[in-house]
Amino acid sequence: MTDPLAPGPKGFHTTHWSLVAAAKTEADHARAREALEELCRLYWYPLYAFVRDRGHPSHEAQDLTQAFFVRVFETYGLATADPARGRFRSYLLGAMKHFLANESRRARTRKRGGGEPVLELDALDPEKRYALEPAHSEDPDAGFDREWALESTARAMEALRAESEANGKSETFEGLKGSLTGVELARGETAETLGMTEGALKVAVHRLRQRYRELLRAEIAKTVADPSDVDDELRYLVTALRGVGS
Amino acid sequence: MSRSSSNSCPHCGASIPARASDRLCPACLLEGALEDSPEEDLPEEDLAESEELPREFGGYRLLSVLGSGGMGVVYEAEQIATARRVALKVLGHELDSPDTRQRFLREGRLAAGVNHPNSLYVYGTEEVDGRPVITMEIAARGTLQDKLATRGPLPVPEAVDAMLDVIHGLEAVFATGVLHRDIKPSNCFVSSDGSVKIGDFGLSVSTLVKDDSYLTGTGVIMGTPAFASPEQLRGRDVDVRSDIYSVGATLFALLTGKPPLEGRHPVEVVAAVLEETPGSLTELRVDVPANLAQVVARCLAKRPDQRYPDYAALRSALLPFGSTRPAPAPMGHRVFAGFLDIAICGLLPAVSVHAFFGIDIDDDRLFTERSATQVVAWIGLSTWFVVYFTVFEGIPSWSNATVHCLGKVCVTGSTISRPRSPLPPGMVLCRPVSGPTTSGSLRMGAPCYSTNRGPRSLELRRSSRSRASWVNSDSCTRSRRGSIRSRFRFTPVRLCRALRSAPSSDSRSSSGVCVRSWINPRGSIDRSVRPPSLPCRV
Repeated sequence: MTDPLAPGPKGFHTTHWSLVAAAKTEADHARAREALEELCRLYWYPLYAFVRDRGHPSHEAQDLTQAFFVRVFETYGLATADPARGRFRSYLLGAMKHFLANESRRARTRKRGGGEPVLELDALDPEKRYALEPAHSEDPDAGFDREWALESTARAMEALRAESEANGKSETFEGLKGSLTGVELARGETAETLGMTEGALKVAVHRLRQRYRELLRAEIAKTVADPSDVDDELRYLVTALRGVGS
Repeated sequence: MSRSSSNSCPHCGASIPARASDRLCPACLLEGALEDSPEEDLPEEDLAESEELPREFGGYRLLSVLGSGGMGVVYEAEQIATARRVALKVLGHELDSPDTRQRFLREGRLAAGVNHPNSLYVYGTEEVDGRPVITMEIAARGTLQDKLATRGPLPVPEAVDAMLDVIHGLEAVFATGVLHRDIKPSNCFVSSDGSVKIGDFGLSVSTLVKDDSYLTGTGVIMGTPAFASPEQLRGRDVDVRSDIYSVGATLFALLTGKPPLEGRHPVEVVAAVLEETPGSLTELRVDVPANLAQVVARCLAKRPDQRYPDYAALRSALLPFGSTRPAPAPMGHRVFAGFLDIAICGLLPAVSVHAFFGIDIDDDRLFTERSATQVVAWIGLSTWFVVYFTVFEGIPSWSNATVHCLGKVCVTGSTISRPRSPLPPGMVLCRPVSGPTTSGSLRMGAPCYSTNRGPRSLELRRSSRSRASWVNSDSCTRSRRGSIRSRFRFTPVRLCRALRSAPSSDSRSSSGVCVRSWINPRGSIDRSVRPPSLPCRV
């Protein structure tokens, strides 16, 4: 049985975004579309929040987001994908801005009505999530980055939670997740609650942090062209969060 | 307006967005994932503790984690080929460098040279899966630190007994030219029969190799400062008195539950050991005898020359506070010892006096008349008795050395530290007999061979034959449970608590007969003889 809290394999060489950016052949395009769709499904909400922050009402923001993804998937989003331009986040934001600037309301409506929706936004209840966010007068671009950062950390957290559940260590995960931000837990009390020694608790915390770190880096790595860019992207997102959060 | 509430991150203080995953600060989560984020060092023992056991490791099956030393984790393991239970010390992954590997293997090498019941036996060193390991005897009942943790401070006799065992082991270690340098409760192992063994030679050095140092290559002091001597912490040359300091600190910990000097962090501890004087044992614990507190205080003296010079002296000082006394030997050995004393102490001077002065030693004129010849003979006899018993029983180091040459019988461990007799050791045996027996005369070997009762003494003095008979009957009448005589003279003879350790090389004669003696609280000497099959323990 794999221990979800144990260190996993380190390193990866191909990112989703690099697949998209590097697609040249038909076969490449097929794989690239798959990767792009996955990315869009993962990061739809920051785009939706971005559209909302631009002042569009809820139903209109849903239409625009939906239409944007249709456009991206129809054109494979590859025409403007350029590895030299950096991250998937930047690409997506740039593409959305371009889309918003050029699409008329009618065209968007036509697109939505005439095509199959690529995301079940109603089911995802985007407005409920958006309502959770604090109202702010920040630049929508900064809001987009912040949402992106939240989405990344949440993805990694969900992956870790799923691993723990699969290995029957949900209780350990729930008891120790508070330590992932670097907070020191009350060891004696937590160890007693989880029925482990303090030494074993230290190890579990260490491994949980290590695994989360790997999952988060993997999550970020999906959106950069080169794995070596992960740290830069992490720093950028930290700056985006610190800039508005505190 | 705020669409939702947010709270603050306890780590960075920033407000946490309401939509943050699990209400955890996303910025801290992201920062923790940076390549250069500080990663917490995880102690090897913690990693080991969380390992899934049992598991196979080379030719061993690791069963459980026993603890960790300065350089690795110690497992309880089973040698698969022989089904033998052993303790397996494995060098920690994070410590595996050429330097630490060398020191680790040196530990095994030094420890393997020691073969003593009070020293944890090391079977050997080897490499398993690329990691150096030391295979050693397993201590079934943990360490003295475990005892402290579960029971708190130990009763005085138990603590002293434990340290006497440790001293035995250390004496053997030192005899092989090794200073231990890391004596502390967690390095004293309790075996299944309750005896205590010294172990973990991770910081030991050979006194024969000049470049063996207490410092690592980077100048970092290794070990446990609370139990290390001041000169050891200063990185100066150390000798056996440094280990004696650690023995004292360990005994202090056993009696009080804490080291003699403490601090909030290692630097404070080091400063305290170098500068401060430990608190008085008697103030920390009321049932600690003042004399024992003095013994511990002397061990903990800042200057080495103020401590006990060697283990024998320390052992002698501690012995009265332990729970054991040597048991009387079987009757045959006691009779043998009695005849030996008669031969040396009685027949030899009798022949000499007769040859030089023409006086029979049994002649009453020797004690009643005042002629010059008789006075000289009397002084000569008295001197002989003083010398005899001083050499053979009064001074342990002399007796050990001398008796090895004579009669292959050794006399060890006169405990003269409590209470100290007002007379020199030899004189104790020749104290003036009080009462109506004699008018200021001395009797031969009075404490050993007389009841100190006047009428009976007079009667017994009638002839050498009767005296010899009485001496032997006296030896023979000592029973394992204590004779009437020994009880009367406050020298009860008790059985040892446990006959568990083999004698050290200096406590057994080549004939295997051990004669023991000690001075009781009134200053007289009790003695017993132990057969070769029984261990000597002083």
